[in-house]
Amino acid sequence: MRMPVIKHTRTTVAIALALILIGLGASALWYLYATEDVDPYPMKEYTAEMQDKAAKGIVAGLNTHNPDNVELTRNHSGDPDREADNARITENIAAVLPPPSCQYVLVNVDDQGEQDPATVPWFSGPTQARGFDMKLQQLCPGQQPTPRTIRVIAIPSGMGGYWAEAALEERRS
Amino acid sequence: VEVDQSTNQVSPPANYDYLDDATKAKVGQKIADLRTRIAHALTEGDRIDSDLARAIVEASGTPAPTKTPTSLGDLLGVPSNGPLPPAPLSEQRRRAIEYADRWAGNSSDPHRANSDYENFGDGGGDCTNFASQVMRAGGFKDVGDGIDDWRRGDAVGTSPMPANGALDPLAPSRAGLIPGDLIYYRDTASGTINHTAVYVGQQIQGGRLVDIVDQHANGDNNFRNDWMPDNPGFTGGSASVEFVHVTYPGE
Repeated sequence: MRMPVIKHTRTTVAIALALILIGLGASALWYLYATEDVDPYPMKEYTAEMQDKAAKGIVAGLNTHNPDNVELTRNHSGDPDREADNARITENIAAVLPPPSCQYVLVNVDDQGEQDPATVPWFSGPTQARGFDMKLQQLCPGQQPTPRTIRVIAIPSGMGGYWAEAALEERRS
Repeated sequence: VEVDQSTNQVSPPANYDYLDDATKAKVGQKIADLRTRIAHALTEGDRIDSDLARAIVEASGTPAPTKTPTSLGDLLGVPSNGPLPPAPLSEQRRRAIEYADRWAGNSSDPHRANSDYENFGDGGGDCTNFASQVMRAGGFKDVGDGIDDWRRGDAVGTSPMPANGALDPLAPSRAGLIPGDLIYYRDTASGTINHTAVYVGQQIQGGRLVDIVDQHANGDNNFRNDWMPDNPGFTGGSASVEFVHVTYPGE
């Protein structure tokens, strides 16, 4: 009469052990693989406030008609390609300066979300980019105001997850 | 109203021509006021330099400088027209700098990283990891494996971080950093330390002498980059830096 009870108990223990082992194995697999793609140092939000502040600084710089005064990130390293990179950044800015004797007035800023990082070819391999449009009025003496839109492309600054404005692009409607 | 920090020249705003007469008059008054205040500040600065020179001579007994110092940098012997003379660095410190230069990246491989260590990416997660590797190359032993197991170093100076154009390119060396020391950057929004770089010396860039760092940040700005961040996350607001001296083993 006792034997079947012992046999039944052994079966129960064996099944319980098997379930525990399966559970432990699944947990280990989850830890190894499911958490692999979690970035422990994600980029910070690129908020409307940050974009607005950047836009004001960039427009003020553009209105001086001097690319050196435009707050875009530059290559300040000791690498020999520094001058070439910075020349391309200057060229990028010069293309969207207001015409001589004209000024820009910032009307509003419009978040454009994720962008193609390849639009900033002078920086080596950013894997992500964000952008916003600066809606502007171009004021020239004796002329009607003209609307213009300049897109600002930002890439990871590499410092604390902050974004850095890196390029400008004329948007024609 | 614009003030050029390098020349102390005050100029009207870029949109001056578009202002009405009343506003133009106010701007003119503001410019005149600023010019007066700058002239007063320069005179006061000269007086303080002169007093300091006299006080140091009296306190130290050293002979008076052969020329009248025109700035605190002159007084303390900080060169303004060329790199610092090569100071004798300890062997451990020299090894740390050699590692920093090797693994900070270069023009053909800006994102270079030592594969012996995990790389937390260019978004900003690898800066302290890199600084730790540099210190290890300089002979430091690990404190532990936890996120709070780290060395602090001795802050020898702090500096607020105004808009980029107003930063002193030689602030780290003026604060007393020597190659192999660290700079901690506090961010604009929270004022907490959010970036670390390794100070490695000086270099002429764009015709001017600047203090430079090796770091893991944006790949193009990793190798012998000027110490001044040019993204708004680290200038203005609550931003500041700490210049941190570390004593390498054996020093």
